[in-house]
Amino acid sequence: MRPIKPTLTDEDVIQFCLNGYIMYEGVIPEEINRQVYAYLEEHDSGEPSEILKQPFFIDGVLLNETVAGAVRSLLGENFMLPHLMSNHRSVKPRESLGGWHWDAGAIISPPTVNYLQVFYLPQDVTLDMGPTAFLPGSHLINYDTAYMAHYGNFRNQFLTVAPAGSVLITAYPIWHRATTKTSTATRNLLKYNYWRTVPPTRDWITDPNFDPITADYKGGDGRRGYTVFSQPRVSIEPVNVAAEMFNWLSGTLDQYRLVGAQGWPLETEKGYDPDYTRKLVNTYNNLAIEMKDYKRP
Amino acid sequence: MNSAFDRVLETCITKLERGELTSESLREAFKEIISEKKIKQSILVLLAGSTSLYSTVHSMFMYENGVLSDGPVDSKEWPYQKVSDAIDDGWRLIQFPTPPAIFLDQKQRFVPCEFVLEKIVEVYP
Repeated sequence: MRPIKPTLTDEDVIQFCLNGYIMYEGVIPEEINRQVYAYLEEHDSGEPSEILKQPFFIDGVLLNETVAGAVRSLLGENFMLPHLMSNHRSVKPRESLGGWHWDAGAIISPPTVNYLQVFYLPQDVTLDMGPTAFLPGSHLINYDTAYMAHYGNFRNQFLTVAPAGSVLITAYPIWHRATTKTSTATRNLLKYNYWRTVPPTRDWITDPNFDPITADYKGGDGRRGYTVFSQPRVSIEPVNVAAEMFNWLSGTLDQYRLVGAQGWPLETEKGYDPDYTRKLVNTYNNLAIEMKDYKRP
Repeated sequence: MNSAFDRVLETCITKLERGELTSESLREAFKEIISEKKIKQSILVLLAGSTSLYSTVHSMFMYENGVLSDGPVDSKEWPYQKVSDAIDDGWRLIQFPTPPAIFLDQKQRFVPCEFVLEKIVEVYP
């Protein structure tokens, strides 16, 4: 595999930690989408894994510069390509109610990113074609699938109504579900995983001025993150866990200490003097270590 | 005629027009209606951000007249934007959100505040 350059910044990675997905609309060229669609017409099974051997798919989709750059940012160097392909191919109209779930194999706590679940739309998907629904921020929620199956539409849900060639990169445990399809048009939706092979480290596009202590884990910079129950306000819990996830991805989970109150990670970006805020958080951390009775979050 | 109620009503009207309606036949008619009455429960589940009745509804589903519904995709079209809106519209609260045991686990990051409401409808088959 050719070397892949990371494309995400620190802020992008925080957004991913908070929302649990990155959407690239129409990123795959139309010609590739047509090839994929034609292939899936000929191979209409639910697991057309042979497509993973096709050079046009490897080069055109899996290693698309934008997509692979994001994968490289989150999984590190030498990530592995999928070994299994699922096609949630829907031919006839169907009613789909409830059904929220995360996929089998999800590990929630700590919020690890050892693999990414990716959804690729090789064709335009409209609302009547039963787009998949996702719940932003839900990848941070430790909850039993059996107890989420009755939920209906969520205020903050995200529907994959998107043009052909769109790719959605998700944290594996994100909640999702099928929605009702009234159209008679066949809809393909490919789903596959990329795999980490190296320990996590902060080797995406880093900003020398970025400071993990004073960073905004609420998804600031005008791109305030969605979370399950908190749009537009972001509640303390997702902020904490998003920060924990960012530390995990940075390879610094052993340094993750929740300060709470107006300390890290909730409000530190607001301090009047970053140096003083940094001193305050470090002092607290040193005290927690010295007292030895600190309850790790 | 599409229900026992309609059928009995028509019978009573016919008897009335013929001058055959008696107090006894009225009693029998009402007994017949009541005996065929069925109770149906409609369920509305609202997920909110807190246990306050004024909290915003973040997810809904409804089971009404034997039909399950996830609610409209667009939350602006939901019938109730706050839990209190549903109560004011006649839905009876039958389960107030309670924290499950897993709430005690600090790793638990989300507990849906789930309000369960019902409406009882009398149906005449």
